[in-house]
Amino acid sequence: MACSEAIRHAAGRDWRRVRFVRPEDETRTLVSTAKIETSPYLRDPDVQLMLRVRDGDERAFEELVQAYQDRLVGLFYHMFGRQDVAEDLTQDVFLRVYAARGRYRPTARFSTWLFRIAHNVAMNYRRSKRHAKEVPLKTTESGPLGMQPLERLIAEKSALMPSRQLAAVEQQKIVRDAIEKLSERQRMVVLLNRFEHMSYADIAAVMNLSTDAVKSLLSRARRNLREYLEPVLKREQR
Amino acid sequence: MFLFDFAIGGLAMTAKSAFPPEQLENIAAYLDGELPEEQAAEIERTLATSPEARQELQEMVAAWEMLDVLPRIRATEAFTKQTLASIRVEAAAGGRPKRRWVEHAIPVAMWGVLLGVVAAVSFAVAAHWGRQEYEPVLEKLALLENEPLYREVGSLKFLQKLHESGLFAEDVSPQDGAAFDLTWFPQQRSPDIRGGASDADATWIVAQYDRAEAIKRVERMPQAERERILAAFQRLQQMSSDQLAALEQLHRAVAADPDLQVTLRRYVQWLRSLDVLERDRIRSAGSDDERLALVRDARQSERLLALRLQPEELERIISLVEQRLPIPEEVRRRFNGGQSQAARQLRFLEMIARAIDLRGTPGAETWEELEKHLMSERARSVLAAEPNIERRWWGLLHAALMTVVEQLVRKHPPPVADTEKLDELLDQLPDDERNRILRLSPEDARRELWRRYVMRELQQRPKADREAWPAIWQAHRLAQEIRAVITGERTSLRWIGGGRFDPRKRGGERPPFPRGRGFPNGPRGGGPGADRPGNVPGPEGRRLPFRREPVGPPKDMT
Repeated sequence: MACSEAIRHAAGRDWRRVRFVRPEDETRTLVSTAKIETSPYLRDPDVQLMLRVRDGDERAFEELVQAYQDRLVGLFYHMFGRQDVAEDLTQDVFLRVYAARGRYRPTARFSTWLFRIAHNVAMNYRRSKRHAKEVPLKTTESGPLGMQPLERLIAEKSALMPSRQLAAVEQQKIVRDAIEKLSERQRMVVLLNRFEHMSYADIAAVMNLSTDAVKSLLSRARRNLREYLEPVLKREQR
Repeated sequence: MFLFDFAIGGLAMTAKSAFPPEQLENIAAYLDGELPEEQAAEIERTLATSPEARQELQEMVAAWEMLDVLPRIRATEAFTKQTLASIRVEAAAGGRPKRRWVEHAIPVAMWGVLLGVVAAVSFAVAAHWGRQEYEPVLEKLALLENEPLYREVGSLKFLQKLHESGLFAEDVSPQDGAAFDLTWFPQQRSPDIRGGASDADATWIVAQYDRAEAIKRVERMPQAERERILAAFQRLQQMSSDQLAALEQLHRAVAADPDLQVTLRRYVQWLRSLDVLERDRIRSAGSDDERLALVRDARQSERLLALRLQPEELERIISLVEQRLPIPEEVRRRFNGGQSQAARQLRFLEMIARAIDLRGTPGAETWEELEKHLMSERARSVLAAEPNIERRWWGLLHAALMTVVEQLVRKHPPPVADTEKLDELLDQLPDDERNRILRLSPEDARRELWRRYVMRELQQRPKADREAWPAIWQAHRLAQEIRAVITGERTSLRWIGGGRFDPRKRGGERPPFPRGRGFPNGPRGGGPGADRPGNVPGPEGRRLPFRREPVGPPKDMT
């Protein structure tokens, strides 16, 4: 991007946000404020995408949606046990990201920022669900879109399935039940750690806790999981 | 929640674990290699000496690995398209609307649009609507245009019940000047459509258009509307003959009765303005009667919340309730002395709220006296419609508080903030503050910025404004708490520390009303605190149970 183009691009915005780009730097993205220009998170490719989103690049937003949609849907699904809710909440997260694009600043890894929003959305949902006195669905009941994939699998196939596959499906159900028995905080920590491979520091940033709190939450979650899964573990050992 | 986790987890595990209690919190970090060497060595010492601990650890590892059997969930195929489409809709609409229901309505609307897009491809080939295959669509155009409204009521029977109930016979929007929304920018307020009275703009539903009229209408339609009509037509084709007959009956009845049309439109518009959970609850009610009961309840809440009082009515009511409260004369004098009328009124309203929250409502005779002699006709009719006596009191208190708040806002108009000014303020904040705000939801972030902006701007204003605004905020937050009780979101008010109501007091102590002339000192500024309502002696000389532990969301639920 040439210098004059950079000025045009920044027209109407606060002049302090504009960094004039030399021709040799053309491939670099315009970044707001001097402090953020030196942010270590600029190396994160998703941060770069988000900066492009901020500057009005819709294609970049699509890339972000595609990159993170399955991870968010998976997280919400395991939190609340329903695909339709998971997709609604994921969409809510992306809407919030999009709505906040103008104010975005790369002060953390993009995934940390995104999952922080996801965590807030999950907590808001939980809170509103509680206020609505909604009866939580058990895994044997069907949601508004009919049975969920795992439940359907169990219901349809258990009668005819070879015993090994049946055992696998049963195991899935047992693990799912164990996860559901964890408190929502413990569940969130487990999902972020096990499936998102997040460090304790990142989880702490996402959930607004100290790393010590994350450490002890995770310890309790792991001990609880062991307790809930003990019968299966013992059976396998025999 | 966190403490609860801690307590439960700690107790359960201490009883069962082979590890010493001080090592329990570190086990996960040990397994993940995130424990300092010294602490890791301690755990290893336990493992070396205890076979049970080794067994326990192995099981923990095995349990952790079992999580791998959980299915990997993926978003459905249409998800990306839907999401991007909804973003475009939002961008076209010029930003994120205030009410949450819109966010949830977007995916639903986008499904419709997607269906329509599929149909539109075939239509593009067909070139125009006059062709043979569109005859059935043209024939049913009047019904198809209104099909979304019909879907919301479900059946003619329900619509008739709704109409007979009279719940949508009048507009329940707050009365003139009552629509202040202090938690939001004045200019960002979404239009109040909860009354749903946009009948003037509506075209009347007819049973059927003649063919020429139908084609003319279609030609005038925007493309999106045509696609919606086609999607509705597809839905019709998938209906059973009974369902179709019921829908047509509903359509004919509505077309024949203008009053029914008004009820239908107002109901649908109202329903769509609700919070998504509330709306879903109404939509998925088991029977018509159940649904009607839910609608009645929600409408009644709105009526209560829309109520405002006349200034002199307010003063009379406060005086009467004040007399009925067991407040010692000395405290009463202190409350009354040297304050502006609004400050005194707010102080008493807060006391009344606290008393009702903790000790229940005053006796029935107090209410009867209020009703007979002090209330205006409007207030009486709205409150009498509420069967629950406690909700009546809350409704009255909410009306009183909002009346005072609105008087004060008129007297001390807030500084006007636009997006640019808020952006500027955001830039000026220290990094950690800015990051904290950026992590909030867009609505909360804007609200927080607006609050800061107003507080900053008020410093330039005359003293009277500076002193009035914290009180306005305080009273408004209390009104919001009461609102939550009326709508059933909460069962009691949230009081913070020492029986004072102040949800914003998390970061430090602050008197709920500003110090200075016209406002009484807060609890920290009034000497030994003898005038604190929390210390008011009861009728038998004992202290009233005004103190309550703070109940609120955990700090991280921003």
